[in-house]
Amino acid sequence: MNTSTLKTTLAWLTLCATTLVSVGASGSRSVGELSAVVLAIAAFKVLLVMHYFMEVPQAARLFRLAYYGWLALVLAVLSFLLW
Amino acid sequence: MNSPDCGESRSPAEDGVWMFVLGDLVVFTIFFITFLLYRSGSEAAYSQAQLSLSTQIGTANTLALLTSSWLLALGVHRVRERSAHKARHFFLGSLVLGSLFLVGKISEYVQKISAGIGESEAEFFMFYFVFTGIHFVHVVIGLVILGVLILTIRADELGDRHLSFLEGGAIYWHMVDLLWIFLFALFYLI
Repeated sequence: MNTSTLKTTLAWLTLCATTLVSVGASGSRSVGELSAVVLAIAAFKVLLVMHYFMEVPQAARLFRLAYYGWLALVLAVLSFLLW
Repeated sequence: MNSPDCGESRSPAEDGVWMFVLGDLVVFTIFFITFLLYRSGSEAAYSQAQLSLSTQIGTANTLALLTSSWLLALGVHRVRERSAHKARHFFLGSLVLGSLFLVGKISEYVQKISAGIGESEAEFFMFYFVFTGIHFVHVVIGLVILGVLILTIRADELGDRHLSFLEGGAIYWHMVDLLWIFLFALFYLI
């Protein structure tokens, strides 16, 4: 298995594992902090998809800024609305 | 976090694809914000409505889409290695799992519609059907794109231009995956 395949596969395994963790965390629906945890896990998963699947780090600088900036903005706004 | 090892410093896909996908992300961001704004007005009703969604189907769909995206990423790696035969298998695997997502989604829609929607959960399910419906259309378009990509992968045609075309299609499909991660969190888990 070459390096790029290994990294992509580790990212996929992490994505599957964190999906199951967030489903487990959502069991306690009434606790606001757990919603924040679920949102943070979702943002982390999106970061992994952007980084290892979409290969945003290989894109032009403008797009790297736009994509990572978008994710940071979405996380901030959705966290604010959930709080 | 280390950068993916692609073996080259060239930018994947055309700039137009990156622009288009970014535009779609912005549109869905407006959806997410709208949903949470309305949810904050009647949180109890939304939480109650959410209970009638199947977390099991939602989780299975999420895993199917993540795996589909992973296979496609591996397929793009094989394309870069000019290994058309292997790449086609990965792309096909991605297409099959993407189709499974659609089957899961349709079964969820049918299940919910036949069970009926109560008055108190009408607003939640209005957002659910509209936003996941728009995402559903994106999945259908993505599957058509994947089908076209599979048909165009030939060993003797894997030049840089063709590679860029394949990468563009893959980036669109990863966006579909990425958007579902947020939709799944908002509608099923939070």
